[in-house]
Amino acid sequence: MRMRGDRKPQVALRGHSDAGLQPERTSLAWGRTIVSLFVASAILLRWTPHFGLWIVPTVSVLWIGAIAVLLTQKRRYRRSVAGLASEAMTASTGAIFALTAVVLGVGVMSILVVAFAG
Amino acid sequence: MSADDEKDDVGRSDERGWLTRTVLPGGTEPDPRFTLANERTFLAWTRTALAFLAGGIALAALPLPDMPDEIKHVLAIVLLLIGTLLAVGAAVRWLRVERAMRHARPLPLPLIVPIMAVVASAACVGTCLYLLM
Repeated sequence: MRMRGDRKPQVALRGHSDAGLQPERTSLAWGRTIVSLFVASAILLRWTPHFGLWIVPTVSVLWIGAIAVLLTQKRRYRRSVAGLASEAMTASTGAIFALTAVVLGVGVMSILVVAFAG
Repeated sequence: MSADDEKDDVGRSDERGWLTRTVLPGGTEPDPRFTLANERTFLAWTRTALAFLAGGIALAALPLPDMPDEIKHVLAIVLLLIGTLLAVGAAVRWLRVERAMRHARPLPLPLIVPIMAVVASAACVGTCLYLLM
């Protein structure tokens, strides 16, 4: 997958001259968020003995969110490089709202599981 | 994907997606560095929210013989609630900052600061009471 995408990003990568390394820092911040999503799902798996199948939707939402962020990392990096090069960048509204929906959904489902299935 | 890239690369306000146009109307694109910094701040708060959720989940999942089940459940729900509210607050804050930057207005005051101060103080007082009892 990485090999296939290598040809195109090169063009965008060459244009990156931001001394503050903003695209890298933002990409790493998303990367840390992926780890946090997986950590939360790993701790959720501790609920299996108590709550059984109740945790499946919550774990699934976390995994879908984490994998979606992981698969769009390269695209997001190229986008910020291009945004810096042209000094204009559209906000990542979709990604930000989607991630909020994931965390909100996990929070609400966890509260329901503890309150009613516990 | 290539069509998306072309659209994003231009970055002009009239070519923004439907969602972005709806929630961030008017103004002009701020410095991309500020847009990215705002995004990273949102992500940092989201990770804080996830940490609260993980804490609440761990509390409800792990066996704690010394703690009565009712207290454990209530504490877990409180932690999960804080995490959920922080996740929503992160998005609201991101939106308010982004709007302010688009219109070159001063950034909004962080509402989370007094809330966090109250929560942290309450936790300290709660711990003191617990130790005294």
